Amino acid sequence: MTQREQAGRTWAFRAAVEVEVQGVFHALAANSRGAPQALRALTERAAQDEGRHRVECAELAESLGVLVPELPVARAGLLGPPTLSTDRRALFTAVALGCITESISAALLGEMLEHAQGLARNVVHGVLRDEVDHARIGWGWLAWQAQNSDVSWLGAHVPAMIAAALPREQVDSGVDLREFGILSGDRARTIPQEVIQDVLRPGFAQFNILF
Amino acid sequence: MSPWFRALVVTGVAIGCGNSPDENSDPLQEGEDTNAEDTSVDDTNVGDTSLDTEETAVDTEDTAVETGDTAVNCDEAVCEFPGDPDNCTSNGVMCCWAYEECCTVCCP
Repeated sequence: MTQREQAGRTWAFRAAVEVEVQGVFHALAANSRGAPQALRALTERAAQDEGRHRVECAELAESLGVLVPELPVARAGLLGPPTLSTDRRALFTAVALGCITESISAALLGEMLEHAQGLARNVVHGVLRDEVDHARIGWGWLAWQAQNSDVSWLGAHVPAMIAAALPREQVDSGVDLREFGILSGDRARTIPQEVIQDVLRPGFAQFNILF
Repeated sequence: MSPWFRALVVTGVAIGCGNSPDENSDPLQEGEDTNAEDTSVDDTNVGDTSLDTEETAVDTEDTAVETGDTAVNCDEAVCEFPGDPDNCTSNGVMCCWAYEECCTVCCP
């Protein structure tokens, strides 16, 4: 497999992930009643953003020679244990997706941006710009809910959320695909750990969420 | 880890607390309209990312952000490259990550 094909497969995988995330943001937006207006607006727009990301990722994959099948919009519901109330599941979803997944994603994309070239750089740039706001949705949702309720119960769930958010891409060692917006396996592993220590722990600690 | 991540959390929290710079606006759209003098930002070779900055459109009242005991007026901040804390241009104000967005929060 050529480097372009490897890169194309990774971007095709990312396109599929964007569809999943789109569905979850749809569900979150549907449960945003009562949230501050800016937070609701961000959440509603996030689902649209992810749909656009899917298209951009797919186009990049195809430019690298990998065809991406048309993917339907995922109709995912809220994340979290079904035993939780709807409000808690919405909070669970916002934290898992926004605070954790999108924060890690933004950090990874920030590093990708330093090395990516051409179309890959354009796509990384556009996605990163949105992911920053998507991460803010999580922190904003958490702050909103913490105003009136104890959110420390989330601490027991954070390790699993983190585990689910870690990159699932497989990159052959010794292959440099950074110009295509793909980090080395080593960086893809270390950056999330930096986010956990420098962002997630102190960020959650503000809300007495310990893990 | 770049310090802009701290701003990521703080600005998100501000949104959730209803303290975003202009809660009724589209933050990103607003950011694209945010101007500051002579701050063409385009080292990315991405066509639509430069900031055309003829006038200062940041409204002090709309962008005053309060964090703890500190409030700052964001019209003093000019971010040549948002996200780079070294580009902070006024005390207590940092350039927040998001390219076109400038000054939404106090430095931690």
